[in-house]
Amino acid sequence: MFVDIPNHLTTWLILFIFFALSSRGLGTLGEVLRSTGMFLLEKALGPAIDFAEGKPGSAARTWIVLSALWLFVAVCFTFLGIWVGHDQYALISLSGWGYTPSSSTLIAAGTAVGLYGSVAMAVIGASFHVLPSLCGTPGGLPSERNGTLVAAPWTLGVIILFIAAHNPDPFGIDITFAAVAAMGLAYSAIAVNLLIAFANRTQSPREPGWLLILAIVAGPVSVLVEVLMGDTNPIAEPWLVLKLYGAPFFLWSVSALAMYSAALGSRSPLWSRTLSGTVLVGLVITTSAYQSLDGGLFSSLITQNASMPSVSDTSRMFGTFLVALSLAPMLALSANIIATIRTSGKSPEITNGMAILVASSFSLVILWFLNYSFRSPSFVGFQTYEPLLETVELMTMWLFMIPMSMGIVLHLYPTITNRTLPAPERTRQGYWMFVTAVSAGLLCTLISESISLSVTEIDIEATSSLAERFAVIGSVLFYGAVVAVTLHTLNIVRGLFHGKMLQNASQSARRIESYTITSSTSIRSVLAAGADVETVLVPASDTDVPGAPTEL
Amino acid sequence: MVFLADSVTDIDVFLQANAEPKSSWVFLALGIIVALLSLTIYSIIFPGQNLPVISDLETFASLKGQVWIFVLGMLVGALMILSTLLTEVTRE
Repeated sequence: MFVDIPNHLTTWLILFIFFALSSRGLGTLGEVLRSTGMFLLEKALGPAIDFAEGKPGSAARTWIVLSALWLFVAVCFTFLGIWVGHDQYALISLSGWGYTPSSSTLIAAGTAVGLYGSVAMAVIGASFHVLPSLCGTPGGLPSERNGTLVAAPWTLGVIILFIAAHNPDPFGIDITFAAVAAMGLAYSAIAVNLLIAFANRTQSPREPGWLLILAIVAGPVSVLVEVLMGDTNPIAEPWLVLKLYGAPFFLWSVSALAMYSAALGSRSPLWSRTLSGTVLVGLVITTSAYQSLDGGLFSSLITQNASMPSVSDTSRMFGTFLVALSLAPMLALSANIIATIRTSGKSPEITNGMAILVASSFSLVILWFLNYSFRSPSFVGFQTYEPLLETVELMTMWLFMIPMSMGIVLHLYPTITNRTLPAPERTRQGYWMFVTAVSAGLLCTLISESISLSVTEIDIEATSSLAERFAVIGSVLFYGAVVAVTLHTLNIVRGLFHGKMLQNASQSARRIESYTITSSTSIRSVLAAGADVETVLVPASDTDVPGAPTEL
Repeated sequence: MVFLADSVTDIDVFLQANAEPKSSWVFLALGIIVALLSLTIYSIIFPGQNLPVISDLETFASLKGQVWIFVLGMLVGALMILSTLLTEVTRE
């Protein structure tokens, strides 16, 4: 019997207990858990641990570079999926090699790789750097070697998922479980590593840090609650994976890292602590409902053929209310990031990822409304907009999840690799191409599907050439994203070898020549921006920026 | 700044903004407005008729069935990434 409301309440209760206990510390038990955790991460692996290097930052660097490589694969397959959507025989010549993918297969493969390869690996890599920084953990990540090593089973899991998206049971058994097992193994090591970093903290991790650590523990807690509260078998119920790598893992961690990157990247303190708190509490309370009602919204598509268990009408009503309420933390997140980056009054920089963070923050609110409008009928059992949901999911991923993770990577890259990106111009071109191509391309695809749906709804025997034209235009425009991601990936890879060493770069960038003041600003904000006694403070009205406010 | 009376000098100061858009942007905006106006006038004078020359141009629709051009681009991109990885890793 699937009873969802008590499960939600229990999950929140356990998360609150975790929050309270970890705030106060576990005393002697904590010491025991720390030493046991370190033993599991390093010595228990035997000689295998010697395969990975343990230099500071090596774990984060490995995950982030792999995420960029997976992003390229994801965008290529998504593009092909969109193309085959309007031209189903486009890849027919590959059937000679035994490869006959459909549009939905290609999109599922692109989405699986995009989510678990690109976004998840970027999030984990960034967490390895950000959480110890926020917690002031002495020595950084407790086990860099283990952090590096577990990238291998995770990558293996993504490869198997990629194959499973094409054919889930090539040998007569569902290989998705093998992928989930490999990724689960890696995930447990990642969680232990981050929990030890959190346990060794010397300062409060602030709101982004709390959200990040809750994102890591929420998945296992949700699965545990499902198993304890119902007759759920974690092996035989594939939808449970949605709980492990669902909305909390992706959405909470991306939100936390985006807030961190926005503050550090713009060299301004987070605009509002109240909004940060709203994001923290709001996301925890509202977004866990996403994965109970619907597997798609900000969740994963790992179990394509698994049907979600049915929920009672009361649970459905409760969940729908929570999903509607989730607009509040979304608005808070969006406003906090944009206001923080815009505090200095200057345009957000493209090269350090701030511009793409602002763009995806804008799109977050629009996407929330799109998702809510198109999904609300399916919450109550109607399939009115079902054909459009695939594109809405693609938009959520390519206009929010992936750009956010790209922004986080662009910001953290110099700190993690100790080198700057080699070609700022390539980053700028990539940014404009990506944002334009993805938004225009997917919008055209959505328009095309809306026209087709309308034609079907009125039940006429007609094929709309307009829908087909929009589909072609959409897919061609989306190809710009392929080019943009190629530029981004090349930049990331080349930066490892040709990027300027950070020590030289940071010396020149440490002091800022001038600081524009648009409104009353604290000295702390000015100092946080990198100003020193030589910095010139410029009131906004004295600037010669075209379009500046006119003094009346 | 306080404006006392609506003298010509004060009005000039009042109406003159501190910053002006670049000339290129002015021309671009004018160009777009003129283009839109032309399209509107054409559709009024010749209702239901295609535009000469422009309507005959094949745009993206002609690319249907040409996915291999794009696949080639993707392969070039993949090759660039792979070659960068291999050559940089093995560089002396």
